[in-house]
Amino acid sequence: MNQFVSKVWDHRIGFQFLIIRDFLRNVTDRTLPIDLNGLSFCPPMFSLFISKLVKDNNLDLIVSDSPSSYFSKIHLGSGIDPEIIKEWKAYLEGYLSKSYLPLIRFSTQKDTSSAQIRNNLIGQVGQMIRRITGITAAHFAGISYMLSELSDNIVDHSNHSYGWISFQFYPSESFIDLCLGDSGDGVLASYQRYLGPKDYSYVTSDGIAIAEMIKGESTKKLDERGFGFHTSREMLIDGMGGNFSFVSGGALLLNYQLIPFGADFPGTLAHLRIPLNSLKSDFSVYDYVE
Amino acid sequence: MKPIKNIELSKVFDSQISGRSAVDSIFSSLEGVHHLILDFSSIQFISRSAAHQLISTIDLLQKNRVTVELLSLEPEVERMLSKVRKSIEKPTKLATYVEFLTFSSEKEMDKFILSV
Repeated sequence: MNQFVSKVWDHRIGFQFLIIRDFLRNVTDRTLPIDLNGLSFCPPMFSLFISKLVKDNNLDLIVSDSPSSYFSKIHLGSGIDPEIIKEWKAYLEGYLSKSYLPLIRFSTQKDTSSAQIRNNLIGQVGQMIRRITGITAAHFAGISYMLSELSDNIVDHSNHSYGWISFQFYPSESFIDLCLGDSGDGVLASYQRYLGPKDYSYVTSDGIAIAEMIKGESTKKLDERGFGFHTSREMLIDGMGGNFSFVSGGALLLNYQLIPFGADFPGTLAHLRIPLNSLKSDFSVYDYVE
Repeated sequence: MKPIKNIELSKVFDSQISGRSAVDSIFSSLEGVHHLILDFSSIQFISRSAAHQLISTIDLLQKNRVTVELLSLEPEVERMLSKVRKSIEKPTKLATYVEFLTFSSEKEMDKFILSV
């Protein structure tokens, strides 16, 4: 059993990353069930991490699981998949009075039906965030931009069938935590898989891979690509006064700094913290679109 | 297939176009079409990547003698398309700063991580 010892959660982003790092370090056998008994809440970074680990690897999850529990409401360990819950739009509407959304597990398939469902799902998630938090139209555009660009990166680069979204609004502290992630191969593998004309042989570590991604070095065919990640980061940090964090493999990006993560993070996870008290009234997405 | 095809995007997308594959889905089944009309009524937002995919696809279609007309563009959508079109002409990536940090010990690194 990979047991997670009960913690008092701390809002500090770094604290949450260290919890995940220590959990990964202490995992004795990655096929064993994950035991979260004793926990009644976890922040969206951790709920996304655990859920993608469990669902995408067919692991068992042990939680205190009454139907009214927070973990049941967020569908910890499974997420909601619009290709399974056909009435997903109405289902999400049921969360309007909550300060969170269920975990979203979206397909990365590119056929017409999947692409259109995913498009409308991402849109609906943004709309729900807007209605739950009461943010302005301008800031909603910013959230829509970041959700769109970062989810599209997962679709195009993860090499995995699913991506994930988690969201929690903290009204007393007045901030939003929004996370996107996947159980794919990670950023480094995306460069290592590349077979095109560019030379990416120098991309030999997770840190270098993330740095190249920030610089906009795209592994896709069209030359004028690779704008979504760094513009989302700048929009959040400079435009919204927030924090942008991203982990893949052995590297962790905290805003503008890249550091060793100290464990091997499977896939990717982006964490966006948006403080609502300090949002500028003159914010415009177009100041950050390059 | 009729030579003129009209697609009301609001019948497919709720209020925004978010990803490249969503744009690709618009352009399936164009055999025999000479002129494509995309009606953007009720579409309030288009992401940068979707705008880029749209412009790139339209340019390719024009080279293959299929003209594309965009109708009822909301100001926000028009603005994103305009921004991306200019970027295609002169791509410039600006906010790409990253600093690699190293630490003399894990304790020092943890202290830094906890400060975030």
